[in-house]
Parts: sequence; structure tokens; C-alpha cells
Amino acid sequence: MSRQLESWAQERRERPRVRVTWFSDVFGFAGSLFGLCHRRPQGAPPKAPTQRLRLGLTDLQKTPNLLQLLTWRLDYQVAGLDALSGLQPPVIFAVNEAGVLDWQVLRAVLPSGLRATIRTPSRSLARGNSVVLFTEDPVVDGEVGEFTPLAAQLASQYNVPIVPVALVGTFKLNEVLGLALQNKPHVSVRFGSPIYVRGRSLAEATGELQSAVGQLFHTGDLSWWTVQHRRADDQPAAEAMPRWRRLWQQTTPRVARTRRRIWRRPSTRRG
Amino acid sequence: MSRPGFVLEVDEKTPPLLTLSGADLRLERFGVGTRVAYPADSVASEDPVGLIDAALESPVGAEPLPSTLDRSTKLTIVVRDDKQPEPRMRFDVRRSILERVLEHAARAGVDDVQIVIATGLNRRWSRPEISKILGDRVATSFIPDGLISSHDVTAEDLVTIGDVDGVPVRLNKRVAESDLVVSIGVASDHTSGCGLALGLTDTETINRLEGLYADRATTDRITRIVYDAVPTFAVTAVLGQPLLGTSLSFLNKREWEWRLPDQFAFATARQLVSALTKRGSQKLFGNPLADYAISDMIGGDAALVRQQAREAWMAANSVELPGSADVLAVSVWGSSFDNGNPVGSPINAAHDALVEQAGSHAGTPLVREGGVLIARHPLSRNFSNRTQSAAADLFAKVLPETLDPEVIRERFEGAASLDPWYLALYREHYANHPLKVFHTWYRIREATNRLGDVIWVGGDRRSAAVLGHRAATTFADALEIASNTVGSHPDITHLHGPGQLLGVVR
Repeated sequence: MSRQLESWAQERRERPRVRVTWFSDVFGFAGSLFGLCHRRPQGAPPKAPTQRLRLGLTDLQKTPNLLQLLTWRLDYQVAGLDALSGLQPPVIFAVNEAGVLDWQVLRAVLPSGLRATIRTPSRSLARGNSVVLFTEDPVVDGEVGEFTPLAAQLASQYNVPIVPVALVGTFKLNEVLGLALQNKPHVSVRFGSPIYVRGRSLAEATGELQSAVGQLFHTGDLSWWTVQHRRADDQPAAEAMPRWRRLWQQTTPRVARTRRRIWRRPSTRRG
Repeated sequence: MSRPGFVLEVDEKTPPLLTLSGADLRLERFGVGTRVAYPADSVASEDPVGLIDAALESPVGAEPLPSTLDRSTKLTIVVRDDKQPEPRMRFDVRRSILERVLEHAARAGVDDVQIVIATGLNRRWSRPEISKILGDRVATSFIPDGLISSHDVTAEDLVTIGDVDGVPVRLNKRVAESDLVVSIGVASDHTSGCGLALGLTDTETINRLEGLYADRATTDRITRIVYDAVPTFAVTAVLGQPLLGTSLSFLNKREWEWRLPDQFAFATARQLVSALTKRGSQKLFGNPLADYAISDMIGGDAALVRQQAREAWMAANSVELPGSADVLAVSVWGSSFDNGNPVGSPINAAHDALVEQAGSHAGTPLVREGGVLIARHPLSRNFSNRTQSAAADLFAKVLPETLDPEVIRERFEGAASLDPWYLALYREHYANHPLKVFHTWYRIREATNRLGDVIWVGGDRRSAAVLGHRAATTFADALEIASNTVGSHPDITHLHGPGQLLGVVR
């Protein structure tokens, strides 16, 4: 050490004492009646009105709403919720319709902060509530139906983004729930990246929306970049198939993550 | 619309005001006549897509980005990370800009796209960090094929793009070989460093840009070489003040606007920090995320964008002060300069107080030459073993030997830059490069030389002595020590934190 530090420059050795400060702090605020009447100092500007906040990661819950009874009867798989983070309400959700329970299935997964409705889309958007729009009845049963230009029109009128959503596994869901099954029916809700209809024609925007929902419905596990890249090129064609095959395809078992076991069960083939 | 910053002149009726010291919170009464400078109001951010589209389609000094992209373009997107605002952004606007640029690239059919993160001497990004900051979509699309990389200043394959006075300037290989570079960053303070030159070059070049003998002419020449090497389209978002979450909501509002939830949050925060000390402060302030409103988004020619973004930030966050003060008092909050450390290491605390807060002015300094800076911080010796190993060694071994920057540079800087342990930590364990703490120390020393005295309220005496500063137990004692330099009735200006303001002295 070539520098000579002062003799009193000692390190702080005492351990910090635990103090109870909560009560004195709270009683200290009694002077202003706990925030009800403050005296604004001279020279300080008055208050400004509060604003609506964007959706954060804590508002997006992958677990569906357990207060709805339908949730307990289904096996949910939610993908792409990350696309909703940072969005500012209101928002239009464009969903494919396959059956009568679609709205109930989707409601369980949407964040409550969005206040999504399916009634009176124009009035709801004007008030700041999100709106859910469904396709028309699909030409081929169980595939994705056509979107009317209504979604693009409302989006450009109110300047809100459209989030494409694909619901997979809701075809004839109400009938499937009437049966006595061993396992819960699988339902997949897939969110896509928001589409901003700004300065584009309604037909172009509707076409983009249609292809986005179609891609999410058919190939939900490709990476986003590949989907963006391939969007214009190959659109998997909707083939007509009998109803039993549609349901057969829908109920393909998911690849379950094997539970890790510490003690491996001895294989019968060995020894 | 956020209210601009203002200066409050304390009188007998002013309520006690908030001060931060490391992780400690306090409501203190200020003396009559003290001027307290408040930064602009923090407001919530909005979806920036409209602003991004406008910046990409109506840039300054360049063609609109969508028209310059086609199938054969070799595109590199650079995410500038030389200066990130602390506390970290809750909705990282660089993610939104990146996604938008990628959507344009996809529409144009660009095949060869890579993302390079220009960290410079800062910590490189690990994979979980890339996923968290840039989002799931970018991570799943680019990480598996190895198309995202964090720049390594010590890499062997850096490409020489020119030289200044015989010393070569070397740039990241991928960036140097691209047809088009889109550079994405944020402007959250008044400094005007070139993000590309500081983030993508080699150690010697960065040393000439920010080291001890850096001069304006050399900096300009190096910056010009970097811009001329590859066509660059820059997009910069100008940020506002940080808006913190519910547990720290009282930090967003002025004290006379606190309602019951804010008062409870303050009392609870203060109790947790007092009762649980280290664990409590880690819980509360460990990694706060703040929402930054975007006041402007500028795209186009890199040099023009840098200049305009800086002017936009200065215009949005400036506060007029009646004159240079004799005494400048600052609150040093650990989470506003040291990510992950709620109290903050002593060297970074000194840098925040002397360089970032006291140096945030538009030409005329906030405290007069020979004045006193009083900063509140405990100066406890906590350095992260992994990321701040070089800083810990500087504090323990080099500063007790000498404070002189020229001696330090001659004897210690070279050995530290080549030390295999520090370099292994930098390359594999995501630590700061050892050179960074030396640059930090040179800036601290420059700022200290201007002032008559630097006093730390509540600071550890030995740490303050090692830094070459002084320590006092209370603010009144600090003023009494300062009265030797500035007299017993000095003009006191207090900078209210958190949040960065630009002081414009009339």
C-alpha cells in the first residue's frame, strides 16, 4: 500500500440492526389523512389524469380460468401467449369457428384485462373493450372458414391490431363432451403475431389474416420466422374427409413428456 | 402527455421528501431554500408499432427501409447494448423494432439474416437473456441455427476496416461482410457515443474512444470509418422516465400526490429493507422492471439519427435551474446503475453520482468549479464475483496504491486487459470486460478533480477513503464538513431520483 489512508478510515464493523419502522412510517402519514388531503407545495404543478396500461407478462396466464366449469372438462394447450405481451387494449381477436363451444373455450384463456366480448363489436371498440370475431361456417367441416372483411374494417376504423387465433380440437366438442371418455378432450389455443391494418386495403389485410389463422391451425409448431417466410408460398390445402376421420385426426394423442424416474424399472428383456 | 420536470424551492410548509441511499428509503426534511429538481413525470408506454412504421417508412437522410430490401441482401440486424437504461425495460422496445424489421425482411424474401448484439465491453448476452429480451419468436427462430451472436471484443476473427494514425480499426466479421446493417437502439441519456463503434470493434479501438487519452478528433475519425465500412440504417427510440411496478409505485409519484396504496407501499418497502436487510432489498429491488414511454422514434442515416435522438431526449427531459449550485446533493439508488445488485458496488455508485447525475447537463455544470457533491450511499464493498471481478480487484489492490489515472494506466491496465482469468470470465461466463472498470475510474477521477470535495452520507469510511473521498454520518454533518469549502450558507440543489434529468443552467 503506497497510499496512506487516514487513521480514522475504518471499515464499518457493526452488524445492521433490525428495526421496526412500519408503524412509525404509517402513523407519520396521518398528517395528510393517509393521502386524502395533501398540501401541494408552492411551485409544484397540479396532477395529470391516469392512463391505460399495456399487457405485461404477469397479466398473461397460461392456466385457463378455473372458475369456468368447462375448463375442468378439457385438456388445454395454449401457445403463443408471448405475442400478446406489450399490446395495448383494445384488440380484435380473429378466431376460426368450428363449433358452438368456441367462445367458452377461448374466454377461459384470454386475459381478463382485455374485457373481450362478442356482442356489438363497433360499440365495444369505441368504449375500449376488446372484441372477438369468428369466421363464417367452414365449407369443409372441421377446417378453417372464411373471414369477412369486417375484422379488417373495424381494425382500420379504430386503429387497433388484429390478433389471429386458431382453435384446434373444438370440432363437435359439445357432442364429444356428451360421451363418457377415459381422457379429457385436447383443445389447443394458438395465438399468432398481431396484424396491423394501416394503410392497406381491406382485401389484402383479410387475406393475410386468413393465411395466418390457416397456418396456425395446420402447422402450429413451425417457428415464427419460417411461417412468415413461407406465408405466400405453400398454403396447406383443405381436403374434404368424412366426419369420423376429422375427429380421429383431432384426437391424435399428444407426445406426453415422460415423467423422469430416478429408479428405472428393470426392463423385462434384460437378464 | 407527461408533465415536464420542475424545480421546487423548499419552504417551511414543504412535506418531507424521498431520498434513496443504496437500497434504503427515507423521507427527510430539507432545509429552507434548498432547490429540489424533479425529473419529468413517468407515464406508461403505448404500443409503439405506429411509431416504428413511421420511422422505417419516413427516415431521415436515407431511403425507406422496405425499398432497400430484396432477396439477395445479406442483412445483419445489430441490437445496440452499450448503454441500457437501468432499471431494465419491461417492454423492451428493441424487441418490437426487431420484430417489425424482420416482418419487412420476410415480406421482401430476404434469406440471409443474422442478429448481432453489440455489447462492447459490457456483459455479453446469454441464451436465456436473449429469449427474455428479444422474445420467444426471435429466439426460437434464430438461436437453434446459431444466427444470433453477442459480439466478443477479444475474438480473433475481427476484420480490419481501416486505420487511424497507423493503428488498425477492427470490426465484427459478420457486420463487416454484410450488404446492409440495421442498427436498433435506445436513447435514454444525453451522451452521444456511437453505439456501433463502441459495441462492435476491438479492445484497442474502444480504448482510443473511451480510454484515458481519448480526444474528439480521433473519435470522429474512427466513427466515420465504421459508418463508411457498411451501409447502415439506424432506428433509435427516445425513452422517457421509468414507471415502476406496484410494489414501488411511490417512486413514480411526487410525495404530495401519494395516496394510501403508495404510502403503504413505502412503509412496507422501508420495513422489508430494515428488517431483512440483504434479503429484503434483494426481493424488492433485485431486478425491478420499469415501463418507459417512447417520446420519439427516429430512423435513417446513422449519424443523423444519433444526433437527433440525443436532441430529442434532451428536449423532453430538461429541467431549467436558476444557477450553478455550491452544493449538489444526489440520491444514489442501487437499481438505477447496477443490474441485479440492489445496493450497488462502490465504484459504480461513484460513477453514477459524479458522472451520470452530476454530469447530466447541457454545457454549464450543475455545481460550480470547486463546489461540493454530497451523495447518499452506504459504499459497502459488494462486488459480483462473476461479473465485476476486475472491479473488485481494482478496488482492493490498485486504488490503495494510487489514484492517479496515468499511473494506473501505465502499470495496471495492460496486465488486466490480458489477464486470462478476466478474459475467461468475459468470454464464457458473461462478465464485464476488465477494461470497463478502468474507463469508469478515469471518468470518476476527471469529475472529482473539478470539485472541491465529495462527501458520502452514510458511507463506509474506509471505502470513501480508498476512493479519495470523504464520509459523513448525516446530511447535516456533511454540510458542516462542506462549510470549509463553500461557506455556511451555500446554494444547495438536490436532484430527486429515480430518473435521469438534464439540468439546463440559465
